[in-house]
Amino acid sequence: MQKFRERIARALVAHAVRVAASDHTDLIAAMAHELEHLPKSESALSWALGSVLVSYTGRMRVMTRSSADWPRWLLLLEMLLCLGPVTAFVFVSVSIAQGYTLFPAQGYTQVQEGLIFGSATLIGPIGLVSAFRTLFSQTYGPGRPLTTLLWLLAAWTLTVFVALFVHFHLGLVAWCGMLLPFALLPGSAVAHLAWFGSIRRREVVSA
Amino acid sequence: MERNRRPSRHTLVLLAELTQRPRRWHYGYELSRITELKSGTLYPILMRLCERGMLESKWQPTAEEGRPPRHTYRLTAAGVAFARDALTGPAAHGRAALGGSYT
Repeated sequence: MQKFRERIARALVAHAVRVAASDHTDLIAAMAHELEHLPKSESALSWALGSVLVSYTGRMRVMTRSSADWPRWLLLLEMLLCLGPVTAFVFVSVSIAQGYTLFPAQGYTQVQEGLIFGSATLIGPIGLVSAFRTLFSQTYGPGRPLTTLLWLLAAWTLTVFVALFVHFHLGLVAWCGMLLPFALLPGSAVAHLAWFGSIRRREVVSA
Repeated sequence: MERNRRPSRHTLVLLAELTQRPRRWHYGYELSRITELKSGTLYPILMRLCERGMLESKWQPTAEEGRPPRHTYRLTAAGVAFARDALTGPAAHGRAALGGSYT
């Protein structure tokens, strides 16, 4: 059991070293080396968990200061969480256009409703494509025209969903449960992409 | 712009230990054991003190075969002055009133 714990501890510490921000690698490596000098009575697992905590905390601190150390997988996860739900809503829009009418009293046709909701979900796929290009390119960052378009789409998405919730008198739980993933998170993704774009433009100019 | 925060209680505990023998190099685990600070608490403090020039560090090879070198720490001259100031200042008095002294 002790050997198993030591193996887990070493794996955790190795992960901490990989995740560490560039200006903290020395210190995390110090924690990793120190693990090999702990007495048998000491909990290697506790030490290793501490190193993971320190590594992630240092990483978060650096990430809030600059764009250079954002790990790609983390940014990808963030974009998927923020833009994935609204992208999935594209299919709902298609089904609305094909048959199901949400606002019969307003006199909208199915096609009109489909267009309204379809346009409200465009931010999802466009934002994701932009995010992927940003992530997997060394120099690409969304330019001002694309950023402006994304902001307009985000505002339109928010407007449509708020109107939907007000029309159906949805309760607070529905507001929180649906407005967040479908309207607010896409806005935060756009904000992050815009910030990233401005950082990339500065980096390209100064290079 | 760097924030000039008062040292935390954990930082004061660490500084108190380091000022006992300021010119001696200390290992990370040794500091953790004496100060009873866990690694997740101790190393961010060491990191911050190094960044602010209060602490210097170096790798020391070990005599034992197959074991990696260890990082050691000691206060710089600025760190010694900072520690003495912090340990005798009003912040230390306040924290001492809450639980224990550092001198």
